[in-house]
Amino acid sequence: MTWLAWRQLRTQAAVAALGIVVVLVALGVTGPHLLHVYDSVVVPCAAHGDCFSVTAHFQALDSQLRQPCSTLMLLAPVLFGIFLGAPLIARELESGTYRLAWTQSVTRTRWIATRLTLVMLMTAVLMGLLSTAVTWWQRPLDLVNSTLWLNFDQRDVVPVAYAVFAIALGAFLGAIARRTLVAMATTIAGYFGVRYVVSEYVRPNLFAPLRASLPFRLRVTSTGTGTEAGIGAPQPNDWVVSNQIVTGTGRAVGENGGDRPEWCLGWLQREGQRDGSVHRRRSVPEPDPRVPWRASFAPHRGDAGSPPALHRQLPLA
Amino acid sequence: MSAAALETVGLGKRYLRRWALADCTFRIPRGHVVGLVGPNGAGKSTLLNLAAGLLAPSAGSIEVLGEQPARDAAQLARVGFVPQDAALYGRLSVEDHLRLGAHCNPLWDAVAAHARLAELGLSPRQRAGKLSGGQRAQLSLTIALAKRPELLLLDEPVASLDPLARREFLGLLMSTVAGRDVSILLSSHLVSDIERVCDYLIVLVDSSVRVAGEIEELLTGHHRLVGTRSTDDVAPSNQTVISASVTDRQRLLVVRSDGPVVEPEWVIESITLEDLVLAYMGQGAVRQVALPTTQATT
Repeated sequence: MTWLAWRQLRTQAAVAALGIVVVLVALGVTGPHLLHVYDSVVVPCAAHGDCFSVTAHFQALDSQLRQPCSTLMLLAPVLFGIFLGAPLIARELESGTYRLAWTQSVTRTRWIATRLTLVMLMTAVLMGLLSTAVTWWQRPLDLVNSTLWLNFDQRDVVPVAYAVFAIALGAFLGAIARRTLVAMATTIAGYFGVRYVVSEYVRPNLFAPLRASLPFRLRVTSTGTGTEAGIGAPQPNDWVVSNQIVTGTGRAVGENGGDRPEWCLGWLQREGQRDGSVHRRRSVPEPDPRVPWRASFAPHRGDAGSPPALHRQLPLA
Repeated sequence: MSAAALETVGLGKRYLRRWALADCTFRIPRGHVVGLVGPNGAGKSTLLNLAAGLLAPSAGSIEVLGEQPARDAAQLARVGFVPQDAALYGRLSVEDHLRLGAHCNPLWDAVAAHARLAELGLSPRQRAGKLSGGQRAQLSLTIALAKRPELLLLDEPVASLDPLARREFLGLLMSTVAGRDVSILLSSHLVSDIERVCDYLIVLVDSSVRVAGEIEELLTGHHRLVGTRSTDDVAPSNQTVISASVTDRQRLLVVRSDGPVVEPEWVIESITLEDLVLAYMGQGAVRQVALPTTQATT
């Protein structure tokens, strides 16, 4: 049975392997230069402090390869799902060859188990190679990146898991649809649907987010309103999943919580105060970039006597 | 005592609301070449797919060689199946199909399979998708036979073949299995195919079995009665009327009887297999045959 499973897989396997080899070569050729620039330019700049322009310049390097890389890591898993997963059962049902396959001295359970195992194994190996290469290539860029959580599902083992999932999804939809083309189309839709739901609704809730609030001062000038200090993630690579301005008692300002300090101006005006003092109340330990943060931004009425201030509180949840 | 080749009790298969096969109860002893005949859509394929274990019954039960079809690998090894339109992998070569068989069947007879292909003149490197209908059917049969099955199921194996290829296919089938201890169940919508090779008959019409039995017994147990139009009121006694038809000049009956038929009002003739099948299909002996005996009955 393994022979048949491999015989039905080997053409696609060769095509996939070939495509991945091309990508590996492209990354292998450009990767060392990227590393060299990082070591010779980005690392030394940290010594003299101002790294902003150096980092920005470095991040612009190889941008014609970075974007495709990112796209590839999103698309490669679903390509496995479309071309290996969807036809796995659908093509047999569609062409009638299941009547040959299922009447040999092999039970259907073993037939599907063997085929799925082989396809998933091969996919995991190829996708693993691809992901390892991309992760290696992207590493210098990731070291200066401050939004790593955006790339979480494009590095290391995550694309491998997505590829294996796409295979399972394709095979399942193929068994239901019984048409290869329908299975392929629904696999694309299903894969991106699941990815969207996972990244938007599942990932932010996998761990309890760290909650933090920081005090901040609102400054009203003739040109507009602004805050003195940027109200962003406490640390680079923090993933802000929620950002609200709340009062000192924890009440969100405005119906939507007012995620920009400017929006609570009306409230402040009602309170009769337009500015206060800025201080960071407490330092926050550097979090794992994959752990989402939920920051609450709080306009805070200070202690009696002292000027009321907007506080961005960051108590650990 | 060995189990029957095929035994069904109240067997039924439903697709959504339509019953493709309903309430089938019959038993086929081993060692026969069984012809399963019926019009298109009567449920022949459904019955064979149930026997091959490709479908699960919606009602009743089916046992093949005393076991539930496709219950395990050992049961699958005992049954050879030649599907309709010879399902083959179009991209795989003839040789690959034999390898497939060798890898998937413990009792695989590689020598016989290769010998058979050589005999048929099939090039091993040829892709299955490029074979002619007859060659595809032959390759499919070769795979099924090399499993060394105890029961061989063939679903309309010759339906897509021209008359010459039909004759050749059936001839080769019979010569290959001659002397081997194998039961065969073969479906066709043409009585002539069945007549050539089978010794047992099942007539399947409108999802149910109309008659089943050894062909010889069926032929001796059925008679064709010819009478004039005026014999209307003289019903034959002790006979089961299978079909009745009236033409301008005469009345034809097909009857089933266990003993000798004594009907003075009727001219009694022996029946051909085709007439018998047609009678059970409910179409009756509609062919208008001007018999010289027409006047003799009056």
